[in-house]
Amino acid sequence: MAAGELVVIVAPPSDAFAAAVVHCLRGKLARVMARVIVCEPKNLVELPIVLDSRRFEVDGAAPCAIVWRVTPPMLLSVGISAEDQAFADAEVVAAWLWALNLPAIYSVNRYPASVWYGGLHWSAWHTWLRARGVYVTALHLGDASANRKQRWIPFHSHIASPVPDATAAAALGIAASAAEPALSVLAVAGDVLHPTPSPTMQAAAAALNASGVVLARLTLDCDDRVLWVDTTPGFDTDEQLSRVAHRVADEIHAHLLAR
Amino acid sequence: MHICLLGDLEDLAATYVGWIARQSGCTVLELAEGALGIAWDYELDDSGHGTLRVGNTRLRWETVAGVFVRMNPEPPLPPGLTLDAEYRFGFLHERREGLHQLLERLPCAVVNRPSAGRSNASKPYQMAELEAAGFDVPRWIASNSAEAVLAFTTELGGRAIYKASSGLRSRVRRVDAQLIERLQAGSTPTVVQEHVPGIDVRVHTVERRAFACAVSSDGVDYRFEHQGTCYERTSIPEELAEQCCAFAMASGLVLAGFDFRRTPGDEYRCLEMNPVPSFLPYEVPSGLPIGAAIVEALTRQRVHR
Repeated sequence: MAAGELVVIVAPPSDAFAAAVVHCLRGKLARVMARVIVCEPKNLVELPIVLDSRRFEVDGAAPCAIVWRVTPPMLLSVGISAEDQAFADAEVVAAWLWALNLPAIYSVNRYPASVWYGGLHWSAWHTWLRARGVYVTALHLGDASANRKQRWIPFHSHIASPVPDATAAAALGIAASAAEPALSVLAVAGDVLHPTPSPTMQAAAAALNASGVVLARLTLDCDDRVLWVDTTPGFDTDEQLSRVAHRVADEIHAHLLAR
Repeated sequence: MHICLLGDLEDLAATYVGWIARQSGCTVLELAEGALGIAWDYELDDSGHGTLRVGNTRLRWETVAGVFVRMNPEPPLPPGLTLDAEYRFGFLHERREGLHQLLERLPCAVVNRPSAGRSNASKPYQMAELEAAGFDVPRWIASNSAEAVLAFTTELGGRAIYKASSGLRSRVRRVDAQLIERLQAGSTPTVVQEHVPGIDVRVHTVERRAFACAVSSDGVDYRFEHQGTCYERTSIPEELAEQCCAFAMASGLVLAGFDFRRTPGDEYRCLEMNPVPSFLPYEVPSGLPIGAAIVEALTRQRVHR
């Protein structure tokens, strides 16, 4: 273990999961002389960083872990003029995205470029999971007005709606499905928090964890196919939040001790 | 045989690919993004079956050999539709993602699928990938610290350039006092990289074929400094051509554009790979048959995923 270890938490102040992880980490890290920096996403631009293909430094120290609770298109560069905002946010995230993927850093979560730049939408995860052989919900693209059983799943939300009329469906190139969300489970460090995880749950959790997506909520349909993936999930109960935060803090601690 | 041009039909590369395809005897279907739902529409099920309507003609997707894609960053609404800014944004994003999903799932050749080569939007991410794949990438850092940039530039003997960290188009410049002042005042992370003397070589790959074009220029970034810039076809080592093709194909790209600097010692230093390369500025002056290779790739019979 290196001296002066650092854990960086990038999260909005309202993020209960980040707060819980910080709480869990404080006790563990005090014993190993490590410290935690908490940064709001909007202030990320102000954090001095140095990055190359193998190393990342934040304010002069190399983080061993990053808890990244940022989702696109979150503001990352407060204080930058409005006309430069989009450029500045893209510049900041371009650097951090690679930092999250550095093998020496335990990131919660690290993201594949294809999914991050696909907006982390459910459709980007569908493409990513399908490419890895994980079953995802069957979709119908384009005009679905002929099939009354189908529901429209907008790409930019999780809220299924009635299929719009044929003109609108065709003009938008909608995705529709007859599948309904049946079950939602948390995947943490490759484990599915469910007493009897299905093969699809296990396959999805394993694929995500192998790629560095430590925490995700999987929503499955009645046919045991992944309907969508949420990588900044909410929690059903405080007990569940605490359990997951402890598990993630344990993973970070183990990573730190192994360095 | 049908070839589709999808997205921005005013894009010169799309126009050119369409022209070559017609010369080759293909029927070219024009699928303008702004005309979706009016001049054309589609349906596609989960097993890759469905239909495409263009005007009064409806055909099965299986009869389409390939799709060439060029998207405009600011696509139009359908003719006659006006929406408030918020709804306009939502409409355009939904439609774009719908087209992306279509392009991901079509059972034919697509040049290129949207998810392929997306690491280009993060230069640090892509340079690390290129380095891991064995390319000789010039030393770089990404930083918003003036001290770190100064120290790195000093290490390089002052021979350093800087460029955007993201995929947004920006001019490459030499590290200068202006950059340092900007970083001292507080700025975003910038990629600072060893400046490599030599000439630029753009290598386009189309599946397993590579086309190399040397670009001689007095400037740091020839894309913005046209005066005295000279394009001519050149040869590159076979292993390098294979390496480029393998990397592009592993990234899911049928067409890609690699930027190299060839040093006076004939070393090839890799700067980046573009997943939506503008190949015409290289093809026209050099005569390299990149467009024809793209049409070949679009029309070749293959087993699709």
